[in-house]
Amino acid sequence: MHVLGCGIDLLETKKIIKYINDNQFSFPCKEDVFTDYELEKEDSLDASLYFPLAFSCKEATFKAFGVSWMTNNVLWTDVELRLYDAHKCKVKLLGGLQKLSSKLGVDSIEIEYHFPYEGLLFLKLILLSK
Amino acid sequence: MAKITENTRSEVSEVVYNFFMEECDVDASEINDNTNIIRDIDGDSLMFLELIEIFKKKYTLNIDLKTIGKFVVKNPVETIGQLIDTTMLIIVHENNITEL
Repeated sequence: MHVLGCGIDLLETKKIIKYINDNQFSFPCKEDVFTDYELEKEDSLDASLYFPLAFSCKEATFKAFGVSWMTNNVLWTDVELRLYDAHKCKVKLLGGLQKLSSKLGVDSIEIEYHFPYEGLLFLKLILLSK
Repeated sequence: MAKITENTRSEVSEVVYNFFMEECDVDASEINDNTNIIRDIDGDSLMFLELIEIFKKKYTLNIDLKTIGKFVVKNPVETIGQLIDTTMLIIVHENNITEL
């Protein structure tokens, strides 16, 4: 396996959790940032885990590819986080980032996260080719 | 369509400066139009999203994030002054901003 890129993100989860109230997610520009799949988690029990992870994952993915929504034609919604349980998640790429991923020869994306301190999320993402 | 008055620019400027003073915990004397938002005061992408949402609501703007993204690819926003200028263009042109 070859490492094509890596991105890390450190996030104070309260910055995202503050937007979750009464099963509603009032995150700024949320329809432009999160995919329909992600927004379905709005009223789920794990929303306060899921949305910080999803946002952090988008940031780390942009860093791994060396792109930004403000400097390249990529969208926040080009990155979707699939969370299967608290320890298993997968990144799905869409749109422009999916094309870039194919062009670069990315075969898999490895993602790991942990909470070094309460309220602090550390997420690491690695782009791999065979 | 937002109603633009001669006071709009000073309104925008006031919102932007107050926002960064609170979010980045800096005094008014520490920031000016040449302040680099990320390098000088540790601004981040979430702050940009929050400001966009504030102005969308304040001026009832019809603007998509992807449109702003396309515009700033060609017209980078790094300083507070550039952010105020771009916000004014967004308020005036909304989703037509990429045609400029």
